[in-house]
Formats: sequence, structure tokens, C-alpha cells
Amino acid sequence: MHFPFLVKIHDGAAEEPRMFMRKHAAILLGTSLLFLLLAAAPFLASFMLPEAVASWLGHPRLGPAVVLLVGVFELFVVLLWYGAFMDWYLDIWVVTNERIVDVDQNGVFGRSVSELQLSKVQDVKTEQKGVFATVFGYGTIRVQSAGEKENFVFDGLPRPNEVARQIVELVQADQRWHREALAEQIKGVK
Amino acid sequence: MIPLGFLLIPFGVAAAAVLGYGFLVMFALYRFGGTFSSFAATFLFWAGCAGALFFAWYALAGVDWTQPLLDSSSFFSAPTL
Repeated sequence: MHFPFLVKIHDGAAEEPRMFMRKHAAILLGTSLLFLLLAAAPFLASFMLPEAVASWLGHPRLGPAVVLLVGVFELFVVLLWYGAFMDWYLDIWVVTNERIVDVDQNGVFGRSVSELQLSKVQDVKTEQKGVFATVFGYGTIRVQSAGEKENFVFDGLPRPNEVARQIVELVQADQRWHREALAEQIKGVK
Repeated sequence: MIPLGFLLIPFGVAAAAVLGYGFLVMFALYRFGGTFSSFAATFLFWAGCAGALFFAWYALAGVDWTQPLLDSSSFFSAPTL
């Protein structure tokens, strides 16, 4: 994975990615199981209603139409799963030593990148709700900023408490750096 | 008379749309990602498409595509008891 959005900070040094996250694999697995069930539905129906399906397929005109319809249905199920995988794969959160970058993929043609400076972070909140979230260890992180910007929210993140702790440490380090830089600046003016 | 083969047109259009969009998704995955998991998902997608098309081709073997799509003879013949 490459990060084309990284910028130069702190006297020309490039910011360093410290954490790279996407939703927990269990979320993709759950979605995949759902699509698998959808793909299997016509075949399950043929097992459950063998006589009806045999009479449809035996019909000289209805039979080919049903087969073509099922073929298109299967193609769309596979495509929707592939799209869901792309959304899972390309929706990422990158925490650098300067910013939090949230990359949102919306279909093939929609991609938004938003950022939050660590120096503006006020509060980091984690939330784990539900059986699956508890069993698989994923949850939601909300990062509240000092400005009027919307909160940064990331759902389905693995090990949210650990991630929140690391974000808080990075925020403290960054804010310390900014305070020291400001102090140096004031000294220089005097 | 519209032949049964007419049904292949919407099927072909839908299949082409799925394959085209899948190609775009593959491009986006490799443009912004390009790791083993995206390769595996791409493989599954193309394998699934090939499976669905093979299923349709296999199940449609021996169909007479020249027969009329709609049987309207009942409208033009006298009712029989």
C-alpha cells in the first residue's frame, strides 16, 4: 500500500505513517458469507422445490429464460461481493506523526480523503458494542477535534483500545513538539 | 416472430456490464492497493464470473434458439372443446 497523500512537515522532513488500519477481517467475512448464501439461493431452491424447478427448466421457452436469469443473478452477486471487498480494502485510516488521514472509497469513482491534525485532537473515544464486536475484538473510534470540523469516526476497527492509546501518545508527542517549537520561536524574538 | 435467441441480448448486455464494472474495480484495487489479498479477491471474482457463465452455457446446451419466444397461436385459433 502506498500513501500518495503524505506531506512534508517539521522543517522539511516527511511525515511518517505510524499506524495503518482498515476494518476487521471478520466484517468482510460476514459480508462474504451473506453473498455466498445469496449465490447459493437458486441452487438451494432447486433442492427444496425439485418438481417445480424441473417443470420450469423442462419448458421449451421458460427453461432457457430461467437459466439466463439465474446466470445474470449469479454474475451480479459476484460483482456486488467484489465491490464490497473493494470498499473494505480501500477504506483506510492512516495515523502519521502529524495527522490522521481517513480515506473513504465510495464505489469505483468516489474517493474522499480527509485529515485531522494531531495538534487539534481533543478527545479519543472508543466503543465496543454487540456480541460479534466483543468476540472478534473490533469497535468504533471517535476522535474529537478542537475546531468545528466533524468528528473522525472509524467503525469496525480491530483492537480499538490499543489504537486509541497509540493515538493519544502520538497526540501528546505532537503537541509537545508544537509547544517546544513555539517556545523556541518566542526565545528567538526576544 | 421474435426468436427465443432474443433473450440472449439482455443477458449479453448485463454480462458485459458486470464484466466491465468488474474490470474497473480491478483497476481501482491495483491502482490504490495491489497486495496479495486484492489479487486473491480479483481471482475469486473472475473465477465466479467464469463459473456463472459456464453454468449458463452448460445448462443451455441443445436449446433451439430459433423457436418463437412467445407462443401466440392460442389467440389466432378457434377454441376447441
